[in-house]
Amino acid sequence: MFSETYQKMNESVTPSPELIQRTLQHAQKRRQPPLRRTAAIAAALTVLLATPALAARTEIGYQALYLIAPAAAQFFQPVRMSCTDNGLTMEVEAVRVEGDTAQAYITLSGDAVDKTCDLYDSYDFHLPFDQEGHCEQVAYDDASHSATFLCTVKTMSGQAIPTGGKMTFSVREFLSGKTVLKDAVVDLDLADYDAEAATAPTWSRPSEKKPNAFYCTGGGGTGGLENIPMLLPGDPLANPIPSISVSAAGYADGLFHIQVQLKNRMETDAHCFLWLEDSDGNRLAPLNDVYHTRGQGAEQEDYLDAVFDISPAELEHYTLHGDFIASSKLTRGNWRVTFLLENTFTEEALTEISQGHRTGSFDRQDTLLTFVSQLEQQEQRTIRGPEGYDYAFQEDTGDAALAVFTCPDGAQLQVRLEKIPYEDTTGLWQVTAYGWQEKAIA
Amino acid sequence: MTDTTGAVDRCGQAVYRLAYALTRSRHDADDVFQETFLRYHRSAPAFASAEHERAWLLKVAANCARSSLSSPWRRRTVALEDVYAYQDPEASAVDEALGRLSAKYRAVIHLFYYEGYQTEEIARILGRSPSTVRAQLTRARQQLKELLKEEL
Repeated sequence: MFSETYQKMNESVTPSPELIQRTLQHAQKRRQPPLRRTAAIAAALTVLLATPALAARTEIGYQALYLIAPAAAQFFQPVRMSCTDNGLTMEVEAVRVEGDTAQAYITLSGDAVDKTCDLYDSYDFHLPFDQEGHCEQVAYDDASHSATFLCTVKTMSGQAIPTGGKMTFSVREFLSGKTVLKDAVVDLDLADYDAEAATAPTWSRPSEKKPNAFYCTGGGGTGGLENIPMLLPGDPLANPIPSISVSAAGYADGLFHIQVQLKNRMETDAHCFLWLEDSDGNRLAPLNDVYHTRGQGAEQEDYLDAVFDISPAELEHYTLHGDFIASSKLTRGNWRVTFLLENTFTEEALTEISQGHRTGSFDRQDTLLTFVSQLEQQEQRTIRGPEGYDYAFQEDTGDAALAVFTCPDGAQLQVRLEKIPYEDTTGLWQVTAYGWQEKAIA
Repeated sequence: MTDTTGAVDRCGQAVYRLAYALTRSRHDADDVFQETFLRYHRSAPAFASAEHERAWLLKVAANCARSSLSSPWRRRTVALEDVYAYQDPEASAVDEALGRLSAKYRAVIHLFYYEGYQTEEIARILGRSPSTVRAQLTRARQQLKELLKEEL
């Protein structure tokens, strides 16, 4: 029965001829990607195809990853590069790039981080491809306020992501302090609101716009949506959670309204689902949910009117129930880490090393300073001061190190190096990741 | 040369219906439809078959819709003239029930009951594991059963 009904319902859902025409016109007008970018991608792929698999990386970094995802650890490349902004630190623990998929384990830590922390879609793998992705929290440590996420993206076209270059991962903002109150009874005696209530002026089309009126942004439900009035918001009657309060209740045009205010909705993602329930647990769903808003920015007010078809005499047999969800904190910042993908040594480079032409790769300092001087040119930033490079090793295990440079403009550059085994040598040093701190870490 | 016109003819309705099933907004479905075929025009790979092409387009449409839905700032409301209304009480009840499901459940319901895909195929389209899709389908059916008071 459901299947038949649903099939039939879909018959009327169809793209308009105007939409089809507009889409095809857009597609035809769309220009080809610049040749330069196409060439760059082709060059990157050439490097990939010409590069042999390199020896396995050193163990450094895996320790942290094993704690998070032991089964996946062997497939990931440790990065362990962090970036601090706005009092929060993002550390890219490890990455994996395989075919059309890139994945990164990242850890956010700081006071604003809690176990409800959600990145939503505010993270980005900087790739020259259309991409789709998702992010899930895989671990949370209450003591350190650290949440670890696995972020995954795939190229939309299925095209392989070139390895051998570098990739930047960034996060712009996230929500935390999420409260979820499910199937909660709201402390409100509905029988007290069996009379007609005052309504507020509203508008839904530009021609109907009135000063101080509330704009009807829409809604859903089975009742006719047109001309459903909005109750006049008043003092809170109940506060199920801090961001959501019952702001009015009563009858309008013969239907019973429960109105809630969704406070600071743009920054809390406050939302709820309301229903009435009798003592036997029978639920009465609203005929309609209608949303209204007024003002902008900090002045914005958002309200939901849940409209029920119930007589005043029946009200005393029902209580108000709801699911209430809101986050309490939006944190913005600029967290970004750049890491170098596998295979920084090409076959040609390894040949040169074998022939003794690139002895610098055996020396940590040579490798580090060569990389930094190239980075200065690539990113057009000054790292070297009048008295040379100002840097120190913050971590040094013999096989891996983290160098921190202080730039003349006060920014810090962190560079992570690792030593990989190579034939009968003492090993080759290579840079695996780097990141900028625009302000010195306190 | 990419045959975008042909793709719209072949799969336009399917893409639009999935987009609407997920977003429940004609305006958002329009956006998803347009973006899906622009991506097709720009970067569609060579398809092994018509089924492959259809699955690719549905995957892109689902991703575009998910991008639209995943933003915490996305308006959770739909303009009054922006939804399909059904005169038939049964269809209206189904529509209301679907509106109360989360988008992830609507996606599996649509692909299973309307497109007729098996759970493994749905998993590939939505980028979820087959076990996740099976669990979501079960939960979605349970919720619909509760809301509609009928067996699915």
